[in-house]
Amino acid sequence: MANLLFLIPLLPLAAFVVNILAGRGYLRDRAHLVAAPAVFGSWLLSIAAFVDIARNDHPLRQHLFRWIPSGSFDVEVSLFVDQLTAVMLLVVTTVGFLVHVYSTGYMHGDGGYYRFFAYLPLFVFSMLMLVLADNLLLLFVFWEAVGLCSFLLIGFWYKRRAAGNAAKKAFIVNRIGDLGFGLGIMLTFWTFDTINFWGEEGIFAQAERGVGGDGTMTAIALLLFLGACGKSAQFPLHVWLPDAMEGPTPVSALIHAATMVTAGIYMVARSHTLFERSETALLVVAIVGAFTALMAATIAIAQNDIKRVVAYSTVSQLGFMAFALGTGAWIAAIFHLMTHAFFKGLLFLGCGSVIHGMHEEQNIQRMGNLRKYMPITFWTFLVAALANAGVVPLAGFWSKDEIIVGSWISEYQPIGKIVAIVGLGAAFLTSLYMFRLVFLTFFTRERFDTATVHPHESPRSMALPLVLLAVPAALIGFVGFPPEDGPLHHFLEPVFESGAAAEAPGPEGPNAEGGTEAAAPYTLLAQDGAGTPAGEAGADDHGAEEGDHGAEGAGAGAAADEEHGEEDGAALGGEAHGEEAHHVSTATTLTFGALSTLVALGGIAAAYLAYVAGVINPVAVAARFRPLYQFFLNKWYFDELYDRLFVQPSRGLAMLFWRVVDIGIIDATVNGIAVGIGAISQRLRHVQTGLVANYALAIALGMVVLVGTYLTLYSDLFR
Amino acid sequence: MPLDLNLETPDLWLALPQFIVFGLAIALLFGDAFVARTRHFVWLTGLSLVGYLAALVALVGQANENATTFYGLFRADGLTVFLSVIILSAAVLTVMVSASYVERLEGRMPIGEFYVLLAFSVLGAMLVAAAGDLVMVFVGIELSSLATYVLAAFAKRRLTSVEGALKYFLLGIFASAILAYGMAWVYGVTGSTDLDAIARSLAASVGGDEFLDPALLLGLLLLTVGLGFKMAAVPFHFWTPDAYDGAPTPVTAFMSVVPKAAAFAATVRIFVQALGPLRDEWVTLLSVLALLTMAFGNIVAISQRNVKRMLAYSSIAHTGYMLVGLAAYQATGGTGFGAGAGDGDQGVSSLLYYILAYNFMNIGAFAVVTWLQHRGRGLTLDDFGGLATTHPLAAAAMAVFMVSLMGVPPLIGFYAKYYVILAAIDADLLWLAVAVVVLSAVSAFYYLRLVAVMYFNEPEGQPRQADTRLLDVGIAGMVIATIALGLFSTPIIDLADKWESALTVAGQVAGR
Repeated sequence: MANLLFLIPLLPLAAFVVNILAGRGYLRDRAHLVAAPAVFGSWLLSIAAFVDIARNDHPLRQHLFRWIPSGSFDVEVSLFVDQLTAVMLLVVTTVGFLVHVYSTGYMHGDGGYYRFFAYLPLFVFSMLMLVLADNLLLLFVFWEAVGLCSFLLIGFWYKRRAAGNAAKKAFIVNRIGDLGFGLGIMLTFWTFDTINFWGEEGIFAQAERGVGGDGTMTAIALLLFLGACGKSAQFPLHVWLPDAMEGPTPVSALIHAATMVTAGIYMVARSHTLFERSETALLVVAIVGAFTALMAATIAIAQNDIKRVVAYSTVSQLGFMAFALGTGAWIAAIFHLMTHAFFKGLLFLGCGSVIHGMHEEQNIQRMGNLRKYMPITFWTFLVAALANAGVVPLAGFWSKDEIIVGSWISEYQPIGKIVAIVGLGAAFLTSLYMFRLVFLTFFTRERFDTATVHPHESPRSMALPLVLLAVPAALIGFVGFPPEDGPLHHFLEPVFESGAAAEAPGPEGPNAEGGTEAAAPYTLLAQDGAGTPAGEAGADDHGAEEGDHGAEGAGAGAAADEEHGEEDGAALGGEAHGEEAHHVSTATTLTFGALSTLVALGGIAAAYLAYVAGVINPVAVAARFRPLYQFFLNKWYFDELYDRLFVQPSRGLAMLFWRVVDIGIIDATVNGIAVGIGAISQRLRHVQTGLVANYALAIALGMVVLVGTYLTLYSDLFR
Repeated sequence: MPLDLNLETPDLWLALPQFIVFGLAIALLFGDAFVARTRHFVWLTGLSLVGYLAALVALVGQANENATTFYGLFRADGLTVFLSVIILSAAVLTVMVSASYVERLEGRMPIGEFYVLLAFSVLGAMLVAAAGDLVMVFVGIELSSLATYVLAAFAKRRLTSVEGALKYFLLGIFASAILAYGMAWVYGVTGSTDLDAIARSLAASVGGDEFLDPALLLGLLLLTVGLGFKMAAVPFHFWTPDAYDGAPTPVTAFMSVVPKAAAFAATVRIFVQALGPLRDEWVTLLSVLALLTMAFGNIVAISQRNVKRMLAYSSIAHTGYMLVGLAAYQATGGTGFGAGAGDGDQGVSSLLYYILAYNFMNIGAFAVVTWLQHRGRGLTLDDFGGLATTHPLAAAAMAVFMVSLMGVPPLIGFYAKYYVILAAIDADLLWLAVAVVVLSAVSAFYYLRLVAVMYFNEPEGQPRQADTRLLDVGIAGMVIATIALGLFSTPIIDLADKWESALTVAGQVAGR
């Protein structure tokens, strides 16, 4: 299997090349016949890779070529698949393929059909390479590549001004994050003298061994997280994602919900070893994530554009994933990433179906009772909404619940409990806005002119992916059942285990003996078994208190920088982690399960009372809390704030630089040089007289000068 | 005194690729005479392509060879292999570019003779690459040049073609005489024409801070002038613009690569392999020539409105970049760019990679010019106006070649300059590295001007239809090579690093 890895990204790339070259001239409306099978092939191969790893429990690696040999900065292009990548591969190719199928219906008849089916596989290729990359620079290259695809696809209808602006906004806001990411990579190289992930000299193994100072590690982690904030739309860089909904809806589903925006989460999870070295960084991640989750949820309840509601929901869910990362609940974050990819992808495709059926209407205030007209869309949308709201037993429940439990018991985070409560609050808002959307769209009476608008169910090519996606959206949560102990957890465990980094086959080849012992204190899911029964017993009753002890243990282990390899430190840390991670007390689990369910149902009930039963008048509520409502409706005034703070001043600065520095100094210099060189050039060309005698003379003169100079200077002939 | 006839049987297998090209030339002669004229186009073109490709295949068997035969006249080593790959691929590309041009444009030139001359020129260049002796270098260069003089005059009905070829010929024999004179001085001082023997002799006599023997220095300088002419270095470049402009465009493409590759092959053979002990003397010389050549070529190219002349000056500038690579030769031995870069000799490897890169992008640029001539367009900048509207793929290909010649990542031209700059920095020639970068920026002006004209001007007139399938395939291949061989540069630079095997004999003796 390892030898076939290159085919996984190559197939979509080939589809891109074919469609961009032959699309306009020959393929035109048949472009999907190239793109969809290619992605399907990647999907099959991804399954093969997944099965291979599940069976052999050993990462796959394929070396392709050396890209940049430059001293110790030696960048290889290699593909690497461990359990984490295998999960990402499946998510990307599954959703990717279904979106391809859906798009054949949604984009039918569009003038840029071939262009769409060129960009879409290009995105799939870039995203696959992003998760397959085995060093930071390669990851960064494809990080930028997915950003480019996002830019191209948001601005797909480039003749619409709003689409063009949204594309630019996404690109520019991401620039800020990517600057941080870039600096983070440089600092990583500065610290570890390599950017390779794996092997004994890889960055992760070195980080586990304790290379690099605390301050440096904090800086690296924060810079990387800045990159993740841009890509995964976390506060304060979240503003681009809602605007990105100007792109075609399948793009929103694939790129801006299921895959690309989770790249930041993936990157942080991938480099969890670096983040575990810095408590400050983890704290920042947790706070930013929790704040984003809550903030975006409050905005979502006030929006009226169907896609915007779902977009803010995406931002909010990404916030959930981020604070899961910040509290060290790595597996929970990836679990939610996976379930979210399916149900949010489904939600967006459902939105597309609604918009398509309503003839490009996007305002939910002008919809209503659509379940009568589009039953398939309704039922699948309902499944996705329930999953998003976190209702038992749909996918979102398991992963979201696990995140909240994970942060409650986190021994990393002193603020874990606060974060968990914020998370519960956000979860309530989630089910509220989700069902506000469902009720306003599919229930009550028609609020559109039934005489002129005739909603209709979407064609089969669009309905089929909806149904196919509804299955995982409903059931995928069971891979994480029972909580904390499901098949997914066991599958992903090796990734987040200590020593995994060194054991993974790095550039130097497979290496079985990494620095396993030394690294124990930094690892959440440390070795269970030996030395933990006592802790287990305690955890049964006092899961929460144990968490506090665990935090101390981890702190002690981390603080003892030079001694972290020593036996007692390792034992203390390992003990504290092992029990929590693997055996959260049943009581805690049940309590939070019940709480989550209550919260979710409460949100649904509130939405029902307000929008269907009419017990609560939403308009009156909005009027009553008018300032707050306005605040939410206007998205916390972030756009206005950024406009005042950054856009206007930098525009002023740009004018200044343009008028004074650019025109006055740089242009004058450059043009001066150009004119000068041009003048020299004009002179020199007259040396070429066209007369062969002159040429011969020039050669002879040149020879005489050379010989004369050298014989005088370098020999004793004339001395 | 009885003759010492110590005869040994030469190992003919070592020269298999050269024999294949020789056989091709003979076969083409017979084909020209005995195949019906109407079938020349298909048969002889096919024969040429098959012959060159067969020679390329034969080279594969020599990848790790390091041996001499014909009493040291002929060498099969890493340098031979790499240079032969460049020369043969240039030959294949030239056939693809020239076939329809020779057949249809400029009054239907005799295609059989064209291919025969091409094959002899290629053979000469390959013999230079494989030379182990001054005499062999000279014979190879002359064989290659004589055939090229005729090729340059091949459009015999057009006066500029004959004029350029005559200038090329007159100045060429002038330079050959200087080259032979320089060889004679070296022979006189060292007592041998064998490259390794010269190196041994010099290693034994040169050293310390004493002044060099003026005779030896004179020999070195005369060789520099002779080879400088062949590679078109300033101030020995004067033939270049006229000959390039006059010759049929595919011949210009060929002339800009193969004779230049042969000249650099000769320079590496003579300067590095034989005159290696004089490195300190010739490095300064070549550095100055490199700077002059880069500066002059790039600056004068700016004022050219004729694209062929512009490319002629651009090729002079590229000679300068290549000279930088050669000037970065450090005579330390070592592993080049391979594992643990930085501790080895990177100069010659970077030069070899540069010639390979230049081969694809420069023939590519001329190929697009040829392509346009087929469609009734001229050679001035204005003839490229609006190409992106009328022929988007051709414009895109030309843009790729221009941007690559300029040296923009991730194209092959960037990596070529990158390796040259690395080598120069490693050899403490920082000023030369800076000059490469600054003058590349100057070159952006004329390369990008062409791209801008193609993309932003309005097209004039109706293009003629033409069927140029072979040329299309060739251009596509060169575009792919320009993109892919840059991204995947490491295997190639590893191959280039094998040139060091050329030094093993001399190295053992000189104690390096």
